[in-house]
Amino acid sequence: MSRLLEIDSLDKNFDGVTALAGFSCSVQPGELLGLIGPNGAGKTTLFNAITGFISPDRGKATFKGTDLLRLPSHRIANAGIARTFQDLRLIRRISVLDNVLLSFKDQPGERLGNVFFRWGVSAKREAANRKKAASLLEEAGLAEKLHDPAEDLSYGQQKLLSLVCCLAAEADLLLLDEPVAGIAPEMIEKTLSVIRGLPRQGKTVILIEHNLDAVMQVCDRVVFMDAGAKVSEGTPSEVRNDPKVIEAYLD
Amino acid sequence: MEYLLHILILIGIYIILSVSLNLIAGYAGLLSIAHAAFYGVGAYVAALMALKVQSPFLVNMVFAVILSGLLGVLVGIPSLRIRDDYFVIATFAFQVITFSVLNNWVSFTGGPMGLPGIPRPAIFGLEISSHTGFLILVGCLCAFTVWLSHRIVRSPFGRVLKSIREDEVFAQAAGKNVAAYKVTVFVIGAGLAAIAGVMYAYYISFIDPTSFTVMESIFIISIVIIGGAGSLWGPVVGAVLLVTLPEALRFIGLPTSVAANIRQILYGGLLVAFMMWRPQGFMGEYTFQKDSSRE
Amino acid sequence: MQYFTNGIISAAYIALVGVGVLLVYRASSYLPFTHGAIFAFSAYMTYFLAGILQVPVFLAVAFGGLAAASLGVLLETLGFGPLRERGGGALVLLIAAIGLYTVLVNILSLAFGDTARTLRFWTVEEGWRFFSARITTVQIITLTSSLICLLGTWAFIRRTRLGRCLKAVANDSELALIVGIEVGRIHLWAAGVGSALVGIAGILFAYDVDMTPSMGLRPLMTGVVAMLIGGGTLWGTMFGALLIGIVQQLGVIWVSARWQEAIVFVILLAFLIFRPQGFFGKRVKKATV
Repeated sequence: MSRLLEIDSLDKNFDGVTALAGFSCSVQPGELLGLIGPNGAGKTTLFNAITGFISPDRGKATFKGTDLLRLPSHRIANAGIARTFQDLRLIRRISVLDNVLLSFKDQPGERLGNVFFRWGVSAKREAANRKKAASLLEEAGLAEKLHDPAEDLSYGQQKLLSLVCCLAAEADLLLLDEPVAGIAPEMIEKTLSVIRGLPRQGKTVILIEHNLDAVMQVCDRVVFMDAGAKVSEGTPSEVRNDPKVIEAYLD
Repeated sequence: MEYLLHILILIGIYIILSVSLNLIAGYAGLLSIAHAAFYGVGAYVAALMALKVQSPFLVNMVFAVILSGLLGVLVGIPSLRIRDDYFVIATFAFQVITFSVLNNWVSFTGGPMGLPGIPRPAIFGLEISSHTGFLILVGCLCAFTVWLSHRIVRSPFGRVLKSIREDEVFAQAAGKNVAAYKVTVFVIGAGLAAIAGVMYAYYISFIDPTSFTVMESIFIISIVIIGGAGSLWGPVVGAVLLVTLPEALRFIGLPTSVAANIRQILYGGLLVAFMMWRPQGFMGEYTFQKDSSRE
Repeated sequence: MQYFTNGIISAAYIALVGVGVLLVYRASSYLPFTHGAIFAFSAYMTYFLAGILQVPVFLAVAFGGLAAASLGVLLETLGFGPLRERGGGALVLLIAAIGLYTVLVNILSLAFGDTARTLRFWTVEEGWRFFSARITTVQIITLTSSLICLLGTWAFIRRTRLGRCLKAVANDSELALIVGIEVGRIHLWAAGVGSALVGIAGILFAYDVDMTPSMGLRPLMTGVVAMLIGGGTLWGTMFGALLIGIVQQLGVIWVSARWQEAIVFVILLAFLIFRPQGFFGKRVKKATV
């Protein structure tokens, strides 16, 4: 089985602080991988490094064979990787629907030439996208907030919205940064059920979470990270019982 | 009556300027005080071509738009690398450099003496010489600019512009080539400003660098902000207000130089007042204020 | 050699303005466009006191500088402070500063007219010989005053408690607040001292050259360039000012003097695009993720 994502010995140092120390990992297609570790372990930095927001000092990362480290963020996104952010990035001022619409790829209406000279094509795709967006939001239970500004949603709903945006992007690999942190229990359930359904749709997921229950429930495999390096990996129970992991948490 | 037509023509020119700057600053969130540079380049290219090569009006307009658009590319590129407040300074630099070229390259642009004797525009043989004629022409171009702006803003392209304004990182992660959008919006804005410049040159039939200074750029951005950045009609309202109000002062009988000062105090003061009490302007959507959590 | 000397004189003004801008930018996180107006304001204040009210020169200069500082503090109290409290960020403050600049400069124009005036009330002197260059008394005074002010500012920041608080706020205003530093007072001090420096530069300039209401715009921008080249540090800004001053003057050898202004701005653009951290600063990140 060929690997979807291959990360090899990534190093990153910020002004003397080591964020990534030779981190390596590979992800198979259709996997639901949990990435756990104490605060400051470098989990979000890893996401930033493979999505083009930070340049690692050393190492390799390939996605479907393409070298990620030489691509700008938007090209990485278009190659099929979608992500959410730890501090929840959304366009708050515009509607929930518009946030999702923004996330669709290859929109003809985003090219000015099409806006003026091939408006029919653009309009058609826009209408199709609207339908898709509406149904995605329906499935996520956000249908009635369709036209509300994103800032009117609860925190949990906003996190779910950013997940829906990743779905709209029709990405093969989803990088979710703390999708259920700080949200109400009912929303946690709802969000987890959406995440659980992703491999069935052919998607691969890497999930950063501190909520270990959620990770145990949902993930096939877990990677434990500390001080910028991989400390342990295996099934959730394997990792949980790994003495190195217990030690790292007690530290 | 002539005076009224004159004011309407000026309003039209400023509507084109403010609507075009609104695309750059109001929708893409790129505060720029270089707009008078695009305005000036448009005016000078058209004037120079009309005077030196005697080419027809429409041809001059096209060249003016293209050259101004190229300057737009230049101004847009730094926006990719520089932070907001420093970028404003960069646009200021472009503005001053452009003015310097217009003012000092005497052999080509006439320097401070300017370019007098710009002929009347002629479209397909029909010469435009009366105030009414100019008003109709400016009005059409005005309507075109407003239409263009609305089309852009309501399209998916416009949606992306807004997302860049609000959260560039989100836009990148969603696969949008932010750099391309920024440069594109500058090119469009610059091209439209050039149209205003061309109209100004033909209407007044004399141009000199003093119409295209830093203060003029500040005036145009004031119109956008006071009218309401990021709204469809805000800049129009702003243009009407800020062009007519100072003219009203004339009727109080103030001497010209005093009136000029009062005019600037007026829009400068309004700018501060709005920032303090109503940063979205009359009907705007964007206040040049990012989410505090974003910084 | 004359060019070199002129360059250093220019650098004196630029350094004062640059540091004046730097203080406010580092402490209050916005570019004080209003400094351009304060530059002119203090010159005109001095003119008014010395020329019209016939106050002795020394007093007039002192009051001129004080007037500059007061105006800076006033603007901070009535304008930038409240704006900041309402959540205004760097851009909003900059826009307001641009508006205030416009208003102030036009008030000066209304009060004194646009024709160039001078604070000199003596005939232009031949000046002293300095190697192969000529330097006037005023210019010597300019150099010395500028140096005194700049060294004084450096000492102020390094040695006094207030100065150290200023540095703390400049580095991290939220943390400074937690530690107990009255951030509001720091903004006032930065505004006051920054404006005083700019004001002194304006007065000196008006004595050496001339004055018009819009005289401050170019020095303001040049000061910003100096600050940028210096990477946002005190000595860096002074170095930047020296560099610009000399390059500008030397530039006259190859290029006509009227292009001087454009040259400075081309330098500015080059730095902004290729080396935004200047010579001495740290890497400035565009957006944090």
